Amino acid sequence: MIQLLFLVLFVEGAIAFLLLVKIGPLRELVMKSLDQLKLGKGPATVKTIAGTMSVILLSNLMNIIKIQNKGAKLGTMSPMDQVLWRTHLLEASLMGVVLFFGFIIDRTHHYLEKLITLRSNVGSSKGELEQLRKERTELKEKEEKTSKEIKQLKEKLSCVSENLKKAEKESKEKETKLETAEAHVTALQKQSSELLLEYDRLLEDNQNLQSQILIEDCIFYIAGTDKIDARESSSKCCGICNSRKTPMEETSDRLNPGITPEFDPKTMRSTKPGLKRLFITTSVLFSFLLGVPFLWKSVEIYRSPLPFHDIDSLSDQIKSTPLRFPCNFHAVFVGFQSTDAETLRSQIQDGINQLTHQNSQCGSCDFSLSVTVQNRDDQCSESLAHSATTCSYRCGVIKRNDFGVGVDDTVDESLNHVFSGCSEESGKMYSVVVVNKENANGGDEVKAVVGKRRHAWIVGNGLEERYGDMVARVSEIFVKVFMNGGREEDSIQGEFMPVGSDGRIVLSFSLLNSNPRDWVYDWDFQRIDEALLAPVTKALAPIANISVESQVLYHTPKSSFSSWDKKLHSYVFRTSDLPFFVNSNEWHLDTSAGASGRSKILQFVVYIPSGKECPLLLQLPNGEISKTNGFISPMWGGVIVWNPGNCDKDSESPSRNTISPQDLEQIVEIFLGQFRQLFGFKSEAIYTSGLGTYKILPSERGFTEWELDVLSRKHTCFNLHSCSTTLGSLSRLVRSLPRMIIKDEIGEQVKYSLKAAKLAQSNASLGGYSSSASSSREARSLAENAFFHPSIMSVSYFSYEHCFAVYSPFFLPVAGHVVLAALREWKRYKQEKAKYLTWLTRKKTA
Amino acid sequence: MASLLRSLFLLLIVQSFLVAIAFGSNEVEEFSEALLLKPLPDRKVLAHFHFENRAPPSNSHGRHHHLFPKAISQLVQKFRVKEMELSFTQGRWNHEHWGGFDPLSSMNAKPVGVELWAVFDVPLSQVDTSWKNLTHALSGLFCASINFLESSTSYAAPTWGFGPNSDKLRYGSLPREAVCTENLTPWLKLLPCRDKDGISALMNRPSVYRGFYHSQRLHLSTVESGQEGLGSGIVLEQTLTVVLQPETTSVESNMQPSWSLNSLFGRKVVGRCVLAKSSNVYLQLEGLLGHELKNMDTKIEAHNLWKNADFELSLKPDRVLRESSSFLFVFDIDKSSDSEPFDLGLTWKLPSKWSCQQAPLHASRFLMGSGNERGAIAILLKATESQEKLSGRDLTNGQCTIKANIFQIFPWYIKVYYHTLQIFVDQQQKTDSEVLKKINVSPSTDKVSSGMMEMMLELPCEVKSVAISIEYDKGFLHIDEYPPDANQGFDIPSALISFPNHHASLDFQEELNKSPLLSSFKEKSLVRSYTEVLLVPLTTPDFSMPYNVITITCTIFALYFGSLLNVLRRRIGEEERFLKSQGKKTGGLKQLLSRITAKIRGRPIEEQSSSESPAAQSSVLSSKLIFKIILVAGAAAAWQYFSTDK
Repeated sequence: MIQLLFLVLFVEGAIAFLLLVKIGPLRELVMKSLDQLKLGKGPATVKTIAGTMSVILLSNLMNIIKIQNKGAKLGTMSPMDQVLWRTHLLEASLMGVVLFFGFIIDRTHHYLEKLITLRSNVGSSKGELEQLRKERTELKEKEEKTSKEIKQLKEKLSCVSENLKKAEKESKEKETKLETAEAHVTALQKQSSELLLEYDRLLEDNQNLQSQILIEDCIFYIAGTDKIDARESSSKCCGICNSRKTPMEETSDRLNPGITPEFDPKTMRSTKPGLKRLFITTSVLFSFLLGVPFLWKSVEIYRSPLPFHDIDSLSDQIKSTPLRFPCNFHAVFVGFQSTDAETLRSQIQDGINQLTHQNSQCGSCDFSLSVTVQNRDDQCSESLAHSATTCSYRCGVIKRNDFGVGVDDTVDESLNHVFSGCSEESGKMYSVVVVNKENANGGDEVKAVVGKRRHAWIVGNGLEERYGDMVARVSEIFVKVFMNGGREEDSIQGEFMPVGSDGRIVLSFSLLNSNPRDWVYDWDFQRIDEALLAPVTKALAPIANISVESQVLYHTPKSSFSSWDKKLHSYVFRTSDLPFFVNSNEWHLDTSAGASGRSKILQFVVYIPSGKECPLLLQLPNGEISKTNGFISPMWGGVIVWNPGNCDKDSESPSRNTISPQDLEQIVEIFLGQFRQLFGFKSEAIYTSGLGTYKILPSERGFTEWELDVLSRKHTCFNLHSCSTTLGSLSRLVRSLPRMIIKDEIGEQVKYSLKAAKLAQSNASLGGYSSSASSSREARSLAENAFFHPSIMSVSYFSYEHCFAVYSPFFLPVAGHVVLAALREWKRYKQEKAKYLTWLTRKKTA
Repeated sequence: MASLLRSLFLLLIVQSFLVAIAFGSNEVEEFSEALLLKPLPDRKVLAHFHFENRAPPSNSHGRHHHLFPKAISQLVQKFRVKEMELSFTQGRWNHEHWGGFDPLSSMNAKPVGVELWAVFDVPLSQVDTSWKNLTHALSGLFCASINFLESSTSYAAPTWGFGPNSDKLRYGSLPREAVCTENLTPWLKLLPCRDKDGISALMNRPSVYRGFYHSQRLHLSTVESGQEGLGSGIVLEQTLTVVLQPETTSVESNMQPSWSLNSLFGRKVVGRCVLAKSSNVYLQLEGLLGHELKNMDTKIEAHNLWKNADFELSLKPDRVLRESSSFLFVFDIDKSSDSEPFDLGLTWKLPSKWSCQQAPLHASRFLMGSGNERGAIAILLKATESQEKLSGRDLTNGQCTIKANIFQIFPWYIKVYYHTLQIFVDQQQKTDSEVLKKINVSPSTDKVSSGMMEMMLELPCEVKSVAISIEYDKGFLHIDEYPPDANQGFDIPSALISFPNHHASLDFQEELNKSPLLSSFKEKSLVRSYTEVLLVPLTTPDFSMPYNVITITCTIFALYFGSLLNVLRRRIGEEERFLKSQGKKTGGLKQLLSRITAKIRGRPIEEQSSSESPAAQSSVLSSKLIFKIILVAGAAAAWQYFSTDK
């Protein structure tokens, strides 16, 4: 900008200099060029430029004032403002000087021009003076000549007078002859005056006839102008007419009194306006408009139609109505004499409702309760649920004596046998058997056991007397154990289900030798995998596809410190150290990401301390030593510190040992506890509540059947929830980016995911636990696949801004032209038509 | 009591089972480490780290491992890799001074950047997908952009020119990949002791990367067990080859520099990796002593060899092995400990000189031609001095010949004209049939696949130089395909020259202790050398060009349209008349302006000659003028606003 201004300034300076100083023919050249500039549209252009510049100058001045005001307000000007101020000042001064120079040039040019004309005027007047002088001298010469001639002429005159005398004599003779001739002439004059009168009358007639013919011609001429502009011709014609009218006024008025009404060319036209141009412009406009859809189609990107409505309805449904599974609860009271089944049922129902607080948490039970009371004589009274299950308890099958001394496992088996006839079409059936045993020697002891399958039993003396207590316990077993899996509500939420989005869990076991120079331990994990872990993975198969892998790592010190405890003769680390125990720098636990994909990897680490801190124990906050010597980290896995039996290291060479199978089994037991904890269950086999303790029979598969039921309920719930949120965010994303390419695969995946979610919901309402779990898993993994599809991940989509930037340089100017032309033609057509119509009405009225 | 007995019994059973597992069929994962040191004739020292990890045939590969890296095993399982080699190299191997005819150079002299080749054990149709997945997995594993080898334009399927003959082989290289410590760390993670213990503890990053050449290599191969129902075993070989310059203190220029491990690496070996089956350090001395000690009794003299008139070692070698032209001192590092670290040193006492064995032909490659349109690639093979001594001659038909395979990949934007292939032998042009024994060409397809050329030359033994030239046109890339910093140019991967009739091997006649390093030396390896990477400058566009083109063409189109439309709807006669009538009319504002200008000019006001109806037309004109002024002012204001508020 400044450079440009400088350039202009220099050019202007040069021009001004050339104007002021005469260097050869340069001034003439500049004058000529300025003359040229002042011709035609030059002044307008220059004025426009000057106007623009003055506006910029004004804005610059405004800016300067603004900056100054700002500076005055703050006291000091910031360096940035100073720079800006100076720039503006420079620009403003430059522009001012440029404008001033322009003005100066203009004036100089003007006065120079005047000067030149004046000079030329002076020159011409001088010439005239000289000419006049010349003429005077010439005239003097002529005078002399003429005086000479006068003398000669005087001499001639005397001669001529003599001649004249002679001629007088002759004339007297001729006068007499003339008198006779005059008499003849008067007679002839009389005759000619009569003839002249006759001729005048004929001439007047002729003129009248001629003017009549001319007016008629004029009218025909106006009517005939179609192609040639009417106004011009008519004005021409009327000019003629008017010019002719003055002498012929009375004749024309008399001849055609009403044929030509006042024709105003500004408001009227006598011909129909043409349609050609309007047609052309509108056709161009319409072809453009027709082209717009084609353009739209050609720049369209492929977007697979996503079922937005279904996605929204799914998420709404999941939010508003939490998924509930049908469960059948059956309570059997054995040995109760005077208790009514109906009242028991209503009481238990009340107890259950109280415990669930009516809150319909997702994955809870939609229960139906039935109660059977069997008295001592094995006679039953039943109160069945409304939706009576197909299996009913056959009266008298349960004998009170079965619950005597027998091992709990056998009781569990026998109960399973009793209820084995149940079909599981409409949900699982859970049963609690309360046995009132009248044993003389027995104290008040009440034994409550929850079995491996879906049964629990309470055995005790004199239970009928404490029957209110029994009702409370039965409902507690139903709600706290069977429904919620014996876990605390706040411990681990259902959202932390450690299952990968593809429905897989990888259990990665690592044996860490923190310092192999002291000792090297190895394990035979393959055998453990086959013998102990395979049943667990099989049991959890409906929830997750579990794979197991193991490795041994070396040189892996922990990153927290431990302290020597004299009392325990061991090194101790505390729970406060746990966040720093896992050393992610040195523990390369990772499995190959290419192999595991999106599955959840749970790390289980067996840490063997180095010789320097050999018996390494975990101290709990209450000062006790942890029995398991391990801890879990939710969603990551667990760590077990395993101390070698003999901490004395033989300094010779590192011993290579294998962890004995017994130790390994112990480790696996701890791991199973940790695994249960990661899923939110308790690792102990006892459930304690305010009413008493319940013994929980542990399953060799790690999870009992009712626990698996709880897991699949929660898992279904979690999967559906995660599926709906994933699909919801996908739909939000897709809707917020309207130019993003969405491939067919994504659409298909979303469709199938919704289908699977629907299937899971319907299965859940029917009570198919494992089928709903697996289909919900599928729904979630499909939703995740759709969301993380590689084509979505790429950022390079064709945005609207891009589209606009590419097409607007063409379409904006062209569209402006086309639309304006069509509008103008339309306006003009309307105007002209109005003119024509006024003409027509005028004609009609006239 | 009964339960005790039962548990005892169980214990017995389990233990016997364990014993069977541990010792029954020698099926344990083995790891061994070795370091070979070798002084080079040009006053440098080569250090070659060699780690081998063997997993026996088993069905639990990828799942249960003790020493073998789980990640590698999972890769092998998932992508069905039969054999694979990945190398990261920085620097160029000096074939003249560092050797070109020994197993070390033929296996460890690698092209600059990343080179990857793999043979798969999958049906032919799935090889490409396996390759692509493998590149992604490896790039994640080694923190390198190996995934660039995924696109079909960057890899090739050599048939016979590369080495292993397999149709499931894929080869690709990235010459521009910068190799540094982030690649070494994941590589070290695969070792059981990482760099915490043993020989690998020497790998001090600054000293390794200060060297003239370093190449880290990972080679894995599966070994078929041969047994029914049993998976295959995996052998993972990891090597790191470094060429270092020892710091010299001696003033004599022809004296070889003395060094020790500590001076080379800045670290000492404090003990072996306890997990290694064997961990040895070897010192190889080539050539120089051969003739001096030939007539001595090696049995006796070998032990005194480490201290002689020429040089002195700081430690006594455990064994001394000899080959035809070199000695190998073997050290066990078992004895070293924290208090007594293993620090091998070599002190030269007399100036000495020796030379390395060289490949029969020395290869170099360069570009010819100029400009951005076309050029030519030339490969020059020069006979080396040691050629006559070599044994790998092929005496067919009574003629002595050398066979040389040339394998070269051309990116698709280098459009090679194979008919322009010219071969000059000793500056004389030869026809193809004279020297070319076999040629296999797969032309490149634009943006789909890269071109590949394999050819086998059969040259007479007394050849002095061979030049091969081939012309090419430079292609145009799509604007999206340019890499960042496109002006730097594009790399053509190294060509590989191999000599199928020449095999390098070193046999130290050591049957006592089967060291994996020595046994790998013993195997006959193909003599091969890589040429330089070529940098081809392509025409790089101005990347804002598409938008410029769009705007310019659109403006032209818009102008054309506008003027065409104007011409179509113009009424020339009418406009002229209108202008004429307009010329007479003057607005009130204009009058005012003219008055002002007249005042400025000092001229009397020009009387309006035709002032019939000024009031009627003035409104139109003045509004137009006002509109114009507003437009100009608006434009100026907008310009000012946008120019300042950026």
